[in-house]
Formats: sequence, C-alpha cells, structure tokens
Amino acid sequence: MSLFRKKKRNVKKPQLLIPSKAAEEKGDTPTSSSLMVKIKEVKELLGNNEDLQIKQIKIFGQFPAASVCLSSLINQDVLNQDILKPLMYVPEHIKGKEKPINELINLIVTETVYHSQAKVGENMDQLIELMLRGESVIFIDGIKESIHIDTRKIEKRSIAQPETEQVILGPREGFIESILTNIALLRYRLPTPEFQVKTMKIGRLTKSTVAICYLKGIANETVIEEVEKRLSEINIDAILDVGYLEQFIEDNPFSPFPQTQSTERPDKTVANLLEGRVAILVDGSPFSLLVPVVFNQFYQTTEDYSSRFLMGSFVRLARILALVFSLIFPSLYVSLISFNPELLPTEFAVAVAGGRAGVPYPAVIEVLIIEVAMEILREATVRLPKQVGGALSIVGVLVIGQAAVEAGLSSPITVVVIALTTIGSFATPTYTAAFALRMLRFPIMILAGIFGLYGVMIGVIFIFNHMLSLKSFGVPYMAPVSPEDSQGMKDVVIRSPLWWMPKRPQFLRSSNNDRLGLNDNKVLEHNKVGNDQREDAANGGSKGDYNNSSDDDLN
Amino acid sequence: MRFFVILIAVCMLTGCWDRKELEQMSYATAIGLDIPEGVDLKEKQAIDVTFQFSNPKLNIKGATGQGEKGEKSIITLTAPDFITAKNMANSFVTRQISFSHAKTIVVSEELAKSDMFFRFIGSALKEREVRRETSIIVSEGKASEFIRKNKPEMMIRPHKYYQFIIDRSIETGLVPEATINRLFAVTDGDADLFLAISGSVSEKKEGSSFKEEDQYIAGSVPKEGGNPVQLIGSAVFKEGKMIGKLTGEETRVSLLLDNTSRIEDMFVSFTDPVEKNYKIAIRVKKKTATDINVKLRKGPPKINVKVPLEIELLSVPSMVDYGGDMKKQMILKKWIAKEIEKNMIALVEKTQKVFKSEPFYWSLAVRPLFSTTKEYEEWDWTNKNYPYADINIDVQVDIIGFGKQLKESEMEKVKD
Repeated sequence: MSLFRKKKRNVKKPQLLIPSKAAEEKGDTPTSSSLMVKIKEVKELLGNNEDLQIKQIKIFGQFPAASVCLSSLINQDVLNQDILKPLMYVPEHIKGKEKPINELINLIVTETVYHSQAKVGENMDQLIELMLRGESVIFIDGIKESIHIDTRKIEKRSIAQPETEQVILGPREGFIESILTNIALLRYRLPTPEFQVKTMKIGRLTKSTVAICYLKGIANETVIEEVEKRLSEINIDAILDVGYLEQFIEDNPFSPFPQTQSTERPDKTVANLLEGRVAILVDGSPFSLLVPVVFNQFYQTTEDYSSRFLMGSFVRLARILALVFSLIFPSLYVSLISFNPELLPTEFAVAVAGGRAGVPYPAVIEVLIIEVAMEILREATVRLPKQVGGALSIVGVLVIGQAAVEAGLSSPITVVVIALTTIGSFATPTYTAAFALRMLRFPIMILAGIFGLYGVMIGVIFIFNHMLSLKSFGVPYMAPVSPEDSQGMKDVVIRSPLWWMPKRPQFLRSSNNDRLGLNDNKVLEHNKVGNDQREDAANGGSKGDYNNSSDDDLN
Repeated sequence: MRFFVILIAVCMLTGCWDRKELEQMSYATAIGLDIPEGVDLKEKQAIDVTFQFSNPKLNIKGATGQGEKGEKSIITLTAPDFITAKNMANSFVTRQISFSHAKTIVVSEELAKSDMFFRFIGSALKEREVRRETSIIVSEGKASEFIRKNKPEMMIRPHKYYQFIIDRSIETGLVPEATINRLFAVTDGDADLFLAISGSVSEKKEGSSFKEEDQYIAGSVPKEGGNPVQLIGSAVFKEGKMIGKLTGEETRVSLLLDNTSRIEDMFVSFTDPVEKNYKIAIRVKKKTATDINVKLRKGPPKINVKVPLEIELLSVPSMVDYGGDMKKQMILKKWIAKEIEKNMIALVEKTQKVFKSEPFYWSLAVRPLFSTTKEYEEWDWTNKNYPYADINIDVQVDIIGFGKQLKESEMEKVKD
C-alpha cells in the first residue's frame, strides 16, 4: 500500500515510563512480604507528601495490614464503607470459617470487599503508579501480593455547551476533560459493537490515556494502523492536550493549514466516525482529534446537516464567500487602489482619493497598520476576562474605527475593508482553518503592494498549489474536488439533501460505502394524508370534492 | 534555499514600480479640444486642451457643491496634442493627470470640421489610459466654454453628470451612442457615417421657433433656466471629418433604422389622426431588430427595410377612444406607420443627397453578401451604391398599450 508516505523514523527506543530513579531501581522487583518493608518503600518514594495516607489495620482482627493511598485522589467514603469496614468487621458469611493466610487474598477479593474494581498486584512500581492514579492499596503482612482497589474520585466539570462551536440547531453537549465521560458521550450515540475504542498511554510523566475511536468496518484499516503507529512513536514527557498529539502526527508540520480537525462536539465526532474517520481522545482535553481531513470540512458545521438543505446550502455559500473575503479582500483593495484604479467605478475612485487625502502612507502600509492593530485587538480580547473584555472592545472599536480615521492614520474605506475581512474570518467555523487564512493574508497583501493584481494572483496560485500537494493520512487535502469524487462533491459547495447522498465519500476509502439503504428507503414516497388523498381518485370518483367537508374522513 | 534566493531576487528586481496611489492622481472627467486662436492648423500642430478634474474634496460629507471654486478644477492650455498636455499641465497641477476615468471628449465644431480632428483623436488610441467607451460630444461653440459653462443643476460631481446625462440622452434616443470605439470602427470601415453627440451652450430662450419635441438641434431648445448646456441631435462625421448635423428627430429615426443602437424610452408626439388639431403622445420601442435586406443587381442595389415597432399610447388630449374602438385603432396604426415612414424616407433621402453615405451602419448588412473583402471594397458601398440605391421602408406598428387608464373621459358629458 502506497497510501502512506514512508517516513524515516527512529526505531523504538526503550520506553522510559517513570523517570524517578528510586522507582526505577525498584523496577520490577516484587514487593517483599514484610509489611514494614513495604511501608518503608512507599514512604521512601512518596513520604514527603502531605496527602500520603497510611492506615494500619488488622484484617478480620488477626492479620496485620495497611491501607495506603493518596487522600487527595480518593473517595474517602468508598474507602471507609466498602473496603475498611468489611475488612475490619468480619462479615457474617465467613464468620467462623478457617482463614488460612495463603487463601486470604482470594477470600478478600471474592468474598469480602464489595468494590467491583478490586484487583491483585505484585510489583511496587506498578502499585505506586496505581496509587498515583487514585487507587487504594492494601498491603498485608506476610503476603507478597497486594490488593489495589479503584477508589478514584477526581473533580470534573459538568457537561456544558461547547464554547468554541456553537450551533442554533443541534445538540448542545460538548466534551469535557474526563476521557471516560467523553467516551460515554460517544458510546451513547453509537450503541453498536462496531464502535471500537483502543487505548494507550502516552507521556512519560503524565501517562495520559489516549483513546483511538473508530467504527470497525467503516474506517479504513490502514488508516487505523497508521494512527496507532504514529501515536506509539511519540516519546515525550507530557501530553497536556490533544494539540500535542496533533503536532506529532500531522503530515506536514510547516504548512499553515491544519491537517487534523479538533472538535469539542460529540455529535460532530460521531458524524465523522460515520464517514470513516478516526477520532483520537486524550484524557484531560475537551477536544477530539479527527483524521484524515480534507479542506472542505473546515467550513462545514453540524448545523448544515441538521437544518434543511436549502438553508444549509445558503449558509454554506455565505461561509465560502466569507472565507475568500478573509483571504484576499484587503489585498484586492490594495492592488486596485494602488495599481488599477481604472477598474473601480469613478465614483468610488473619487471617494477613495478623497478619503485618503490626509493619509501619509501608501495604501499597503495603511492596510498593514490597521490589520496589525486588529490582530492585536483580537488577541487581547480573547485572553481578557469577560468583565474587562467588553470595555476593551469598545475602546478598540473607537480607536480603530473612529480615531484612526480622524487622526489621519487611515481612510474610512480601509477601515470598512478590514472590518469586512475580520468578520469574514470569524465566519469560518473552524478556528484553525480561519487562522491559516488569516496568516496567509499578510504575504498576499505584501505581494499586492509590490506587484498589484498580478501579485495577488501569484499568491493565490501558490496557496492552491500548496493545498493540492498536502495530504492528511494519505487522503489528498483538496479531495473531493481534486481528485474528483462525485459522491463527495455533493457536499462541498452546497449541502445536498441527505437522500441525494446515498454513499459515503470515496476519498476516505472506507470499507463500507453505503449510507442509505437502497431497497427499503421510501423517502419522498410518503403515505398520502389529508387532502393529498384526492390523487387516489384517478377513475373519476367523487372523492375529490373538497367543498363538501362531510366527505372528508378527518373526524 | 534556492527557493528563497529566487523569491528575494524576484521581489528585489521586479515589481510594478509605476505604482501610483489613488490620491496622487487627478482624474480628468472631461477633456475639451479646441483650435487655438490665431494658429493655422495647416502650418503648425497645436491644440487647446481643457481638462475638468473630479474634485475628491467633494466627497467629504457636508462639503458643498462646486460653487465658486469650481473654476479651479477646469484648466485650459495649448499643447501640440492632448496627451502631452497632460505633462504640461503639471507645471501648475500638483498631481499626475489620468485619463482612465474620462467620460467624454468635447470637441469644438470648428476643430471637428478640420482635417486635424481625426489625427488628434487617433493619438488617443495609443494612450492606454483613454477608455474606448469615452463619448464624443461636438459642441457648437468652443469646447472650453462648453465645459466651463456647464453647471449641472443636481449633480455636484462632474463625472456623475457626464455619465448620467449621456446615458439618459441615449436612452431617449435624442443623441446617438458615440464612443471613441465606434468612431474608429466606423471610420476604419470606411463605409458609414459616424454620429457624435451634438451639444451646445445657450442661455437665451429661443421662444419664437416652437417645433415638435424632437425637431431641435443642440442650442435651440426653448427653455428657461436650468443648465445652459444642452445635448440633442447629432453631428455627422464622414471619414473622420464633420460634414453636417442631424436634429433630435433625425437622430431618433436613424437610431431606429440602425441595428446596433439601443433606444429604451423614446417619447414621440404625432398629430392625432382623428382630431387633427390635437397631438397624441406615444412611446416607441423597437420590437425586434430592423430587417435590412439588400438585393444586389446591376446598377444600384435594392434595399428593403422592415422596421417592426411597438407603440404605447401615453396621452390622448383629443379624448378619442382608441382603446375601445378597433376601427380607430387601425386608423391610428396606419397613420403612425405612415408618419414614421415619411420621416425615415426624408432622412434617407437627405443622407443620399447631402451626405452621400448613411449613418445607419447598414454596411454590416451588405458585407456578408460578398465572399472577399476585396470584392466588397471594389464594389464600394458608400460612394458608388448607397447614394443611388432604391430604398423601400416598411414600418410595422403594433399597439401594445393604451396607458394606465384604458377608457377616455367622455368630454361631452363632462361639459354639461
């Protein structure tokens, strides 16, 4: 399969999971059977921490043991009620039973502790790691194995509306930081055994859980393998967000265009899984990463599909226009007024000349100044707390809109052009794609300042060339436009009605292409109800006499 | 690396360094051409050029109209030709003068009638800034006077004024569409007459000679107040030289016969065929293209022209009920067809006898009859054939409307 570009990558190095020396030295050595030794070992590694909680107990009143955990991570109630209580009080059903020490572990796990996540572990490094993840470990004197129980309780926020991708029509749920909740959100929408979640741990220090989600039988197997391969080659100390992964697995890191799509919306993730993409989730990040991507999906929203197709298509056309605006509008303006004023209507040319009379710079400098001011203003408002943001945006609007014109820094028409451009770049639903075009606007503007319209054309051609050469996990970036794919084209410029798109897009090479069931799809052949029944009266019956309401069988 | 070298080299070595910011330019909206006083064109090439600049200041909100300062934006200077005048003017105009937004070139009749006219205009074509859709106006007096006296009543911006008044006059058919492009096409085709817009400055009211609404030539429209500049009728050019004038009516008729023209809103008055002392007003529209059928034969050709027209009755002061009476409608149709035919025949005869060529661009209908250009040129449409051709004009009139109110008031009943 030459689907993937072969990359020269280093062969796997030995994994360094725990950088701590002490733990490394202990390594795989099994725990000793002596309780005191075990406690001492734990204290050596974690003793400095306030929240290390060691409680010495006697199991069933006879076996000395200790429960060890990090109190900040665990649910104390569970530890008290479900673990310590049955261990210290002998439960009714095993009272009087013989309790040999070699059967003790089995007795505890199978008959005493209610908790479903009770397991047996042996290695100290493994136990420490589990402790750091919020499990409680019970060491028993005289037994090498220890019991670890999942008592984790981590504070998480509730499911809220996605802040970055709001919709008018459509589900309101967004991902949160906890990966288990996120997977639950996906499973809830895809109750099918085909939905598979593979997990792995990435990050030597953070040991972040990374989940690869896909629909078996729909997603292309090679893509899944490639995703796994690229992920497994990452060797870094910390993965704090899904963006870390993105930078490691994308095909061309130097391209301004995003080659993965991150989304906060579970419904969008599911829709993409259904098209045959693979979603990557990371614990601690409220975004899922979708691969492979094509350019056209960056201006699509879930809302396009949940609204009726005319509405969806109209909105999409407006969005494409805004996209083009945000890229070339200021440079067109610059080249028209600096090089080709004869292309402007006379009225407009005179108006521009009048407005620019007091401006000391050439048009390209003027536009660049306002653009940079706009970028700074935008960045400032993103970081500001909401209470201050409002005030700042008023100041910004005044400074850029009014004062700059009156101070002779720019002409009013330039401000209008920049405002349209900025609004245009906000209309692109995907932040990363909008950002790419925002960045590319500057080189094109400079080209326009030097070469005029010719420079703008050259710039646009360069951008297209670059986009055509990009690939995301083996899928050409400009698909389905080039290479052309008739099924996919139905969803590029307009959003065709759902019943016009019976197949999944070809370019994702999914193993199962059928979206609509062809045989039993009776769309648009609905049963005739109400007044439509008159069409049945083909043989001249009096059924169609609708002036007489008594004929209607509606009551 | 190589890429960056090329990129830097490209940026350093090339570029449109002739870039001029918009505000560094001064846009001449009207260019006037005159023969300088006391200069004999046969001995020395010289021309008086008048520029009217658009004033960007007017665009600032609240700014008043042209006012007294308007004079400053109109300049006249004498130069060898009007392209070099651009640079000459820079001795006192601060900005680079650009013709790219010029709407019109005004030529004095005196210059238009001289041989030099076409030479001066011909040099315009070499200048890439001059637009080919610039209109040509022939002014009765001096072009500089025409531009200076022009005080538009509503438009404070000269470029708007020229654009609007020319567009509107062409719509009404009172002036022809006279672009530089057409001048060159017609002159180089060497077979037809070119019609330029005829304009004039006149402040006096010539009340004595009242005629029908379109039988005037520029400068003689009776009026009171308003802008002294009038555009009506056309100046006839043969082989790049002005040879005569057409009235507004003749211009309209020639536009009806011409297939390349567009008339949209032509109001005409005719004598009422039933009550002869009243006049009716109608709107005339061309239904389809005029059908020009040229039959070659020995001697002068026979030309059959079919002009399908649609008319709409706009006012009937005689209160004759044309809407309800089919007989009267027939009378009206025949009458109007006859009247228009009469006008057309009169114009055709005038062109055959006085101008010896036609302004209707009929050579377009003749050219396909020959298989080679050479044959066509030898046959010589304009000199040997048209003036002697046997021309039949058939006007077909369709009444498509009777105005908003179909029925006329019954005057006799009202008078009781």
